[in-house]
Amino acid sequence: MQTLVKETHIWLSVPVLEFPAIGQPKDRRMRFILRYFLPGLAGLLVGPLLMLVVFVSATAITIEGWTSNWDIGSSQANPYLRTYVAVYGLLALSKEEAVYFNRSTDDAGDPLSEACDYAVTGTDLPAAWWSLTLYDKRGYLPENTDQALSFDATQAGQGGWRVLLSATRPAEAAHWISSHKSETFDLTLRLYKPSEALLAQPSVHLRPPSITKLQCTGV
Amino acid sequence: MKRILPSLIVFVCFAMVSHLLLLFSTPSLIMSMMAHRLSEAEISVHQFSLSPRVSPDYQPVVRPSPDLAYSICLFDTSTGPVHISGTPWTGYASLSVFDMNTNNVYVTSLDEALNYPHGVIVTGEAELPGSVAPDLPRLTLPSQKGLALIRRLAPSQALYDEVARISQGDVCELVSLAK
Repeated sequence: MQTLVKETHIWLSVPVLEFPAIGQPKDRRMRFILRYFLPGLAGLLVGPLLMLVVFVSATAITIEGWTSNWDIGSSQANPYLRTYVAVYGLLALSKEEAVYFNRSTDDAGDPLSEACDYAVTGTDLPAAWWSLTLYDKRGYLPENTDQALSFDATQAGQGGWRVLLSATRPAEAAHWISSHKSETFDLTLRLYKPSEALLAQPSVHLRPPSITKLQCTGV
Repeated sequence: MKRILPSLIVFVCFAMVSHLLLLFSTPSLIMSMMAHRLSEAEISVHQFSLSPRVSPDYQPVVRPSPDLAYSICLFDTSTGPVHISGTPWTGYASLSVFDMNTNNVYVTSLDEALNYPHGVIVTGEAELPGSVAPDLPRLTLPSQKGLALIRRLAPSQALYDEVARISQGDVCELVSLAK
């Protein structure tokens, strides 16, 4: 019992900071710096680093490597997701109008890289319109002049489709997205006016595109 | 343990405070910065402006879609309700409204093949007579300021040019309450 009282006393005394005035003994000022100032400063630096949690909280749905979160754009979004959207996808729409899937690896789990060519294949997607866009690691369109930044439903037509991802324009492929000057990159799949079935059971009603690595040649 | 406990508590408190401050202020801060950038680009309040075509050289926000033409309007309901509407478009098109905390508080389709209202009245504190645009939905925002965005599918220069022509009919204006 005696010990408990002692501990409680220590706990209660902690928040009371005695700021040492100028002119007080040197060792007292040093003790203040070591005991309160430096830990406080370290806390100020570490707190923002914990924002990395936003990367984890942004993913709620994963289908064959494609990740999304139905709360994007919604007032129900938790503060971490809201911050993630503000930084990486400002002015995103709520799920009734559009859903967004991202993917940064191929089917083998390797990061997508400008040094490699990929075949992206898919079928009809459950939305009024959809598009597939390549972004560099900063989340911006790569700074090339190839005018091949995305592929969308109007190009895909009905049924299955195939698009080549590569840093150089292919001689034969009908559809191409340029990865030139992207280094490592990711893809965003936007589904506008998604079907109600997709919103209710995404893993059942979405067959997302597959990404197969063809070859790596180096940049 | 007793010796480091005060330091530990100071560390945890400061870490939590800085973390929460950053967490809750970042979205509205980024929205305000974007509104400021638009003002600097001489985009007027209560007026839709068609953004230049998205390209590697022009990316006003992170992850813009190169297939869409964007029209944007900043509004402020502190001086009265604001009427926002968009000209219908052949193909995918939407009109969305965002508050200053990044929430997409309203969205409607502008696809002319679909039967949705093509606009909204954003009300502030002023009372709005029922005779003003009775066919449009009313919307009240948690903030007085906000942003309206029209997206239209325009993956080619020809379609973008067509958007430039029809977007002249987009409306973002204060509602006159004069009797």
